[in-house]
Amino acid sequence: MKIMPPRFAVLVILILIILPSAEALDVRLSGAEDPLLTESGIRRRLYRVPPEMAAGEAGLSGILLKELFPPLFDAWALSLVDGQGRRHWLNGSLAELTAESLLLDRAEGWELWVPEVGRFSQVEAITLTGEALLSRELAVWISWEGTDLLKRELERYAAYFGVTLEVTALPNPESKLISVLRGGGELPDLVMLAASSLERLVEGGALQPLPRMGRKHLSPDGIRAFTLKGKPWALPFYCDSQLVIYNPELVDLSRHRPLTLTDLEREAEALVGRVPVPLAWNAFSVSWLLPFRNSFGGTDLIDHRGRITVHDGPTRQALEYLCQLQDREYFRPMERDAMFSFFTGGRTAIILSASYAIPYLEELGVPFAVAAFPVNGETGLPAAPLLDFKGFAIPKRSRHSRLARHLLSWLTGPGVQQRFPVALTKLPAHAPVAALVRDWNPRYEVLTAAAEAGQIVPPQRAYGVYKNLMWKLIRFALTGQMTPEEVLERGEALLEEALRTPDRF
Amino acid sequence: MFKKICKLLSVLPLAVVLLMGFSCATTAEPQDVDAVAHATPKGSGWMVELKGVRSDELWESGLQEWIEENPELLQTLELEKRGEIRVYEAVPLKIVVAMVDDPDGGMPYSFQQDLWGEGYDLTAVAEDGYSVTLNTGDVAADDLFIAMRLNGEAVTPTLVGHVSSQYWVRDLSRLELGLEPVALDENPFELQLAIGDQEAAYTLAQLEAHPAYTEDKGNYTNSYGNNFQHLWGGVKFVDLINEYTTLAPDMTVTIQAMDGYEMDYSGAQLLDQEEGVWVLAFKEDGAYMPEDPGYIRLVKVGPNNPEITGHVSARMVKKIIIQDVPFEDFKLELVNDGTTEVMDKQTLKSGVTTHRSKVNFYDRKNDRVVSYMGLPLFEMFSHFPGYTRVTVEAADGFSITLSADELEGNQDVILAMYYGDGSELSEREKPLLVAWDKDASLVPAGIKPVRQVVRLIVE
Repeated sequence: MKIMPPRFAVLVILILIILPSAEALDVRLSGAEDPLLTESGIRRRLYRVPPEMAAGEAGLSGILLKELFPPLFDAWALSLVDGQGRRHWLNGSLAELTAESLLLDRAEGWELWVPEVGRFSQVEAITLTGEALLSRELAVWISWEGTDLLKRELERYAAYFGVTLEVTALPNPESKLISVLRGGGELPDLVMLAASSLERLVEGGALQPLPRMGRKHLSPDGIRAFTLKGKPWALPFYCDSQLVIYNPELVDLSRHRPLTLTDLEREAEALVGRVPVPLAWNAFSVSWLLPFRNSFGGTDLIDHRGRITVHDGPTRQALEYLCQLQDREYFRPMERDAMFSFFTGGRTAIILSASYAIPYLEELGVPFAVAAFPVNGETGLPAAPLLDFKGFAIPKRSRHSRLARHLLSWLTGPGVQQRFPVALTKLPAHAPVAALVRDWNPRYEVLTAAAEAGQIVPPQRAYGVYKNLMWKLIRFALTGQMTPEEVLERGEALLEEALRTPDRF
Repeated sequence: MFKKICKLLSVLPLAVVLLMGFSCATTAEPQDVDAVAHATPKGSGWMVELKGVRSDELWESGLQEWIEENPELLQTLELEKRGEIRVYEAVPLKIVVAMVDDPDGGMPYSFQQDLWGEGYDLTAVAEDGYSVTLNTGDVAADDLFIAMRLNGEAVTPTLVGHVSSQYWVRDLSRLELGLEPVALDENPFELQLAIGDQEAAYTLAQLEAHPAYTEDKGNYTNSYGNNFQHLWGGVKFVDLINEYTTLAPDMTVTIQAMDGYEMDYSGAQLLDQEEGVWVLAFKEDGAYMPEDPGYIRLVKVGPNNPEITGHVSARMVKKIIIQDVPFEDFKLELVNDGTTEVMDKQTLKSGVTTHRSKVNFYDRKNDRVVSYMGLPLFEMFSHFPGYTRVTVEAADGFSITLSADELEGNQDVILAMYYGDGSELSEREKPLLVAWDKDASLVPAGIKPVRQVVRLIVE
């Protein structure tokens, strides 16, 4: 019998044939002699299903159906046998049949949810008719924190799906990608990247857009961080958010809800004389100026023409505010290493850092607590933390782009997202998972609040140029060599000049 | 089959001529990519961008005209997908690849079968960005086609063929051939030095040819705690600086990055070579580094794989600045017929870079072999044709005289400026030394090692 799938709909045909019931769930590809997994093998892969994916029902354990099958190039039919021995035929595309279909482990047996079709209880057998991908090898470049843990996740993928992975940890995979692209070497199939490098890679023709990749449950901010020219070029994997980190043995910020700039100043004033430096952060970087700019009324840094205005009122007010904090000896600008040294040594009570610092501080065993960024009481606006998304993209010249998409889908799926980002106290890019883990870890309440008030790191090249330029200039204001006004005027002129120079890529 | 290919290729020039609207085929000089691309007439219907050694465009209207004039190009294929036989009308992909697989943008195009067989990446990109890359070495060129009709209906260009349908691409919008050459010479980057009153600049190619170029292992740990180990290639920092001065522990070395970031190092820090030597690296695991963290990065290397923190590993190094330092130079006199030419350290260094030669000298007194690097001695006299003999004088007056007959063309006798590993000569040997290889095929009569060479007299 030839099965021709309709293009836009899923057709369900119920065939009333009574078949003998089976005790264990039988999952297989059509034509295969053996099931793909044993019952215990299936159970080992299960994870908690976020209520948002299960019509609000909490406490369920399950798995996306596609995560039980090997990587497929295409599929056109799904058949299943329920507890009454009835066989159901579902016709459709690969995405329609498996992308969102969920297998749930209920006390009364397996339940399969197929979107737009329905729920099937006490499922005993699932057979998918399709074509497996020929590719079985992938090269993956990873970076940033937790590469060892991420390698273990990738090993898990390799074991589950019978894929050979070559995983390389690199300090700067984006630059390496450009280098290899130029030099004609072996490109990876999947590469980890920061949103801030996206425009350079896209302009250089390094990546392929991913319009067909499912993004239903991914963070809208994360999707925006990797979207340029109206196209998605990568999928978000996790996000680091900026936070206030403080030593609870020296100060208690939890009593301020919300914390305001005035509260912060009062706490700093009380700390003067008790600690050498009450407040510290890397104020040389615009990463720690832009949140304050937001609290003084600053909106999008990059306008619709892709331009940055360096010298605007909110930026000047923010820079003046930091200089005033310093003049009053509440605050000292410090680069990251010095700041952590002061904090862990008890010489600084309050620092601003990103969520990646949390595992580091936990490992050191130093007392610390986290708080969301303060609100400017005068304007009523919050200091909006920068949301630094990391994601995965597929190089245009990947030789295994379909398989890379399969891995990318798995990495951004609910299983991995509950394990990897959470182990490093990062915000999962999978929104229902982010909502789920908020209940597990009290720090996620702060992290989630920060994300909700946050602003994404712009993906445009202009931001990188602006950031490098301001790195050199802000210190002139903080050391009193120039006024904030002079610094921003100079920055305006220099940025215009710098952006006239084409990217060397 | 071979005849079929020959026939296909034989009609190609004519077909392309017709496509281009020219009256006759010409063989043109290789043209600039843009010039060729702009010379291609615009067409109508769908268009596939072509990017290979050069760029071009394939238009639906152009291909239709091409087929009308050469109907044998159009083939009917019966291909199976999802268990169903589909009938495609298609042209061989290789006639399109031929347009951009060599630098010659003029006609007639010729398909580079050898290149295809050797293998390069061919990337087919769909309208929505989806792409498939295959290595041409894995697929016969005759097995791939661009289809224009499916089951009698016109379709947008589709890559199909006698290969798995997993390599097929619908709505083809771009074909990219991985044939772009990359040459180091094209990188205009220069490392700048400002040491005292002296200024210098080096391209990467010059640094690679420098006597202090070395390759060895090293690793660094970044602030996330991740460790990166590589085989680095670059020029030894201290040796490079010592070309212009003698790096002292109390000096301050400022390293300026391409993004303007500056970092100061003490001379003592850079002179600390207990674990390994500091290197201005521009090669990482054999490949030139990209702009960031390259083109040049400061790392420490050595046989024991020294580890440093990422913090001290300056990246994107653009300029090295040392202010208020004395300059240690030397003078070598080249005397001929009453005139004296004075050569300085920079000039000699340039000579060594151009004519670098190494010898393994047997030090009889200490019964050991010492490796030296410099330039063949006879190269010093290249602008004295017909010279008969040369006297080499040391600072203390010691001298030897060598016959031109035994010296000219003799690569085994050198004027050494460095040890074989690129490091500076010892104080008792500086600035220059005459040495010869222990296995030299011709050892000039009367030759002896001459240290602290200050004068060469040519007769």
